[in-house]
Amino acid sequence: MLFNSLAFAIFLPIVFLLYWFVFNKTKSTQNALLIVASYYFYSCWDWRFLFLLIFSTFLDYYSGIQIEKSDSGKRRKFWFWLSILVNLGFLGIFKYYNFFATSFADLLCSVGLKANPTLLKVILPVGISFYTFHGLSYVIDIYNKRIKAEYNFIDYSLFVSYFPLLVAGPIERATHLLPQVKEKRRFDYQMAVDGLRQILWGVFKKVVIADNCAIVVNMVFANPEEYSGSVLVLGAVFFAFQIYCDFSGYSDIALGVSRLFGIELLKNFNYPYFSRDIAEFWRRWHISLSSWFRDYLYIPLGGSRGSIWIKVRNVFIIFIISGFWHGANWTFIVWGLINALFIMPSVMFNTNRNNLNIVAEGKLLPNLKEFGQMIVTFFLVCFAWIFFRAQDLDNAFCYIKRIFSKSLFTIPKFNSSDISVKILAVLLFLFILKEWAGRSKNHALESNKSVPTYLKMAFYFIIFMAIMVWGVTNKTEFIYFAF
Amino acid sequence: MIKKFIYKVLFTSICFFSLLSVVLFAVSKYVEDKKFKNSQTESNTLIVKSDCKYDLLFMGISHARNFSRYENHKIVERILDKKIINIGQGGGICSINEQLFYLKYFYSKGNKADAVVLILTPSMLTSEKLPIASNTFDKEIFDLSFLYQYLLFDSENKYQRIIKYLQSKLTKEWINLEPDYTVGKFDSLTRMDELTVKKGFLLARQQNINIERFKKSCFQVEEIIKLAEMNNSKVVFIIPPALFGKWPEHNQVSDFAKKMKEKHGINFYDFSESVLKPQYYYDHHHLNTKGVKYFTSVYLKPIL
Repeated sequence: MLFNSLAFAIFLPIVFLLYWFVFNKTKSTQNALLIVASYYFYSCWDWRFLFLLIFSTFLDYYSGIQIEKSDSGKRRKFWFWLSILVNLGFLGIFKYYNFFATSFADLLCSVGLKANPTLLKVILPVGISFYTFHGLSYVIDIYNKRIKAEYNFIDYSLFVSYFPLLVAGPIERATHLLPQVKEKRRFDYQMAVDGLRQILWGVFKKVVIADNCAIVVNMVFANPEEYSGSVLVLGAVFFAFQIYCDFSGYSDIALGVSRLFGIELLKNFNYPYFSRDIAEFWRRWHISLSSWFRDYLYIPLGGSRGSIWIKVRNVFIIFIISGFWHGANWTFIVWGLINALFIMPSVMFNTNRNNLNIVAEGKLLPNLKEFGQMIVTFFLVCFAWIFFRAQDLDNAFCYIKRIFSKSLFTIPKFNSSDISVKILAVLLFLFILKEWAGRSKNHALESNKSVPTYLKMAFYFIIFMAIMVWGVTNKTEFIYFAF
Repeated sequence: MIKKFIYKVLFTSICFFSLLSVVLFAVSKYVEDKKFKNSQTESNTLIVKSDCKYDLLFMGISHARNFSRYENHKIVERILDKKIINIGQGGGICSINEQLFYLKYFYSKGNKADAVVLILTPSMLTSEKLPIASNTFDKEIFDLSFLYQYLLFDSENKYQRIIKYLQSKLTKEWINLEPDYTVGKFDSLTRMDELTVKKGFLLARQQNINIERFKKSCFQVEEIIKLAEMNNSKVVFIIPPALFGKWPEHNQVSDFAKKMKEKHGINFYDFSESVLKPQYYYDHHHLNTKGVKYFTSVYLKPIL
């Protein structure tokens, strides 16, 4: 069931009404309803993988209790490693088996040995990367005695399987979500209204901006050799907006939906394209994943403490694994490597925490320096996105080679697309303006009390009409479902 | 508080959808006022009025619509000396199931037709693309009864088609829609090009016929017969001519039509190889105006 589908438009009000009118007596009834709804939501993709989800949930739940109860270090370690290895094992089989098998066969082939790898025809269970990371963080936190184990299975299951975050995050932490799940939720009018605004903005980002950018991007990336360098640059820029609006649009809908049920989820994006350097970009992009890697990998590895060599090593490890998390393809690994290279100078010279505030806070426009920094950062990010989007490394190198040709200085000309590229460019410009205006808020459509209600309603109607007029109606999945 | 929230959401939604409906009605009225004739548009809501009586109703895909395009409609009416309505849909956007829907819509408005002529292009029953085309109703006006009936109608890709239907009314293509005043299609072929024909077959359907799809289409064709019978219309099946003669799925479709003839007593005529001269075609399976004239007078006149 997609967030941008009719099925979800029917599912959500039904669950909402049941939640607040029928199952609102205690937190247990509220949680039980949300669990049933979440499992139904998940089974709409493939009910068979529901068993995998329940098994993974039970294993982490039970391991958590055993780790906490165990007196001996050995027993604690046993349950800890059992949970970690089984979780990573599932992820490995479903997501990475074919990649390793073919890569190994290619390696043997390169030294003259023949190998026929046995490939598994496995479907990637949707959301596996996300719920596995939920479980891992929970078990690691208990093992490190940061949190107590959860003894209520329903509450724990809801933490892992809560439907707004189940298939594409944000990757929640037990410290943030479990306390909310353990309290009875009371209806918060302002929170619900703002949740609806966030949903509207998320849908707009997804179906108007991301899906229309996708039409142009797919066309350009399919045959880069047919386009001039200037078109390819625009293709990369459109992809930057496609992936941002697709994923942050999903996150906005997830956060907004969750707020209708009185639960706040972690913010996943914080206007990343208004970053002044790559380090700032990574503090603002897919925050729940970046902070997960920071807390459970980077810091345990030593973080930015120690010698320069240790710093460099840790940065590379974290970015390569982050790339690999996105998919079993060399393009993602190279994407991670490029980002590691981009961020390296600021880590080595300790300038990675230079830009912690909001750019041009309280001002209408950034100064020239800030503007230049944002533009440079954006184009560096776009360059890396080429690897992220390309089908394979050859496609990426061909794309880049073609960019840096004489045709870079020609007027961009697109073959065709459903929505005119000019209209798309205008929509993007207006979208950027709105995001810029709202950059200090939780989301760009958050209410501004100084604006009269009728003007706000008129603006919401314009967004509604934009969705009606330009919204792509094909059932396009969110990009991050594939991860 | 929650009740206030629900009322507010409902009120806002009603306001938004009402405003949207006003816009949709306004743009539809604007286009409708341009007064289209059957030969000038492929929209059916623009030409299907209420309580009208016709001698013949043509339906099918482009091969049916071709009897009306380019003012051919007048020629066919004159030769057959019949009042005709053509609800066929060209452009690769309408499956047999949506044709069934159009026929239902036609009858629901109190219209009558003495005979329903289904131009039974064989590829129409095997195409995988037609049933999922979402732009089927792009040229239809915003009509609540049309929308309501389609909501109740069983169809593949229904909701996407509905959304596209509503969306299409807000585009400049819709607002700028004008009657097609082209008179006559006089381009003609000089010979048959085997390669183009092969490519055309592949475009119409996959390499192999999907049996499930074919069965489903046959069921829908039978529904058309039942609906026509219920409304006292005679049913005539015609396999249209093509320069290459028979379509790859010709035999299956012909067998099915014969079965329907036995079961329902319909009339069935196979004219697939009736016109084999390239000068009567503007492509390998669409008759040009000269071809329509020839085919209508030689083959249709005696049977309709």
